[in-house]
Amino acid sequence: MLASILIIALVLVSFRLKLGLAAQIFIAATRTVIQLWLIGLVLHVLFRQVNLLWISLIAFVMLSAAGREVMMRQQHRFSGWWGFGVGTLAMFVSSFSVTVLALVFIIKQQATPLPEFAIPIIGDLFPQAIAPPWYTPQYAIPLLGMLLGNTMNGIAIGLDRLTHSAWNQRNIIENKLMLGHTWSEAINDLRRESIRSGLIPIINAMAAAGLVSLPGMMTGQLLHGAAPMDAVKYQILIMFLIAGGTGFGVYLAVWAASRHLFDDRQRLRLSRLKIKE
Amino acid sequence: MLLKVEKLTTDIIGPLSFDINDNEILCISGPSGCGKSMLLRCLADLTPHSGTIDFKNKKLSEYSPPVWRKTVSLLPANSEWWHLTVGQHFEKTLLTDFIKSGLKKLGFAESALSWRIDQISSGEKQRFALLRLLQNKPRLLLLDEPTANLDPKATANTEDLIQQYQQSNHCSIIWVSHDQKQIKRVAQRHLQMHSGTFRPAAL
Repeated sequence: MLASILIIALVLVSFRLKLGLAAQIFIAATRTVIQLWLIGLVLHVLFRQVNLLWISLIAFVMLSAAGREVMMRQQHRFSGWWGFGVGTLAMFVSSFSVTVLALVFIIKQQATPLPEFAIPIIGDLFPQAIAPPWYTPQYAIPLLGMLLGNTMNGIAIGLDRLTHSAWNQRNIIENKLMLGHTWSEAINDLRRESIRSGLIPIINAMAAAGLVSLPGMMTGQLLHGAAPMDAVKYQILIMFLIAGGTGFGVYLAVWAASRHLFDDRQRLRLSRLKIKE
Repeated sequence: MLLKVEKLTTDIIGPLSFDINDNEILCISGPSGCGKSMLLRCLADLTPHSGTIDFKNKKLSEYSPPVWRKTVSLLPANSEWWHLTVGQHFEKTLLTDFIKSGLKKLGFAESALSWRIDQISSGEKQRFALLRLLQNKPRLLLLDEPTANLDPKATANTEDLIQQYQQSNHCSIIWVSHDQKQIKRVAQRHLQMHSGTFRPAAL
């Protein structure tokens, strides 16, 4: 509650300096409170029931929200389903697969939960076999959230860069086509730059981790009294998962989008973009 | 017959039906915005269109797009350059006598290949772009006002180079030009374009 005084002070300052941000700061802060409070409620309920269906539903809602965010952040996005689909599909493939891999192989939960009747028999002999199932929401939801959040950033930047530079450099791309380059050769430079710019935030975060700032998750754990080495271990795990998820997600999204800029006769089809001034 | 076009149509041009013979130079003229460049873009398969385009009795769709564009090659009115120097746009392995003699015919020394792109004029770009395109040894050249930025001497050099290339490689050319005298000098046939359709014109 004390921290909210800071926000009120910030609003007052922006009002005095005529930054025109007072309303925006106020709305954003209010959204933070309401959204986090609501998700707290949802998690409170969700953590009590380990049900794959419910967790899938929540994961789907998170994915759609991230997909929409990717779409809205692009200046020239694809029209129709592609505008939403390309980022969302890439996030789905990369974030979900990395999350599931991490849950099963690194946090070492059960890939296939034992049937109820078997637990007393096998549990005595192999105590590890009755570990909670991989989709235990306490682990699955925060992990997925962290991956989606970061992958979303990378993909949004990568796609925006790709469509933007394809629009600006359309004449170069077409001149390359005229000289007999394939679609892939003609857009290769832009694709590489787009993937690079999508990956720069996570590379910077990894490079600066611990030196400039303590990453958010680790800070939270430390504030909660966790042993520093434990917090570090998990933070490294999370960083690597995020880097992997973001990397493959950005690559996938940029590749698919670059292909969709051309038709089956390898003609540059910028009419597939909604161009904004 | 080298190229056969039937009912070629887009939202701006057509329906256009015509053909090009072996070793023929066809000039097309017409007011700005009448669809000349659009026609050339369709022939290079850069713009969606309806109708059929056959090259050597094979349909456009039977060629892979890069092969088609290396065979039926478009020289656009404005060329684009993406590397630092002129020479980087030419295939090193192809830096043959053809390029060297081409540079000479266009009035450049061989050192011109080391010139920086941001320091050359539009007329120089236009001539380098022609040479860059001819490396692919196209069988049908689509030229969109290839001498528009050139002075009379450079124009004469460029026309010579194009005609020599045409004779030694037995290629055909569709040549868009506004210059009646130029058309008289180079064309075997002349069509005038008017709001997307052809009418025959005098040489």
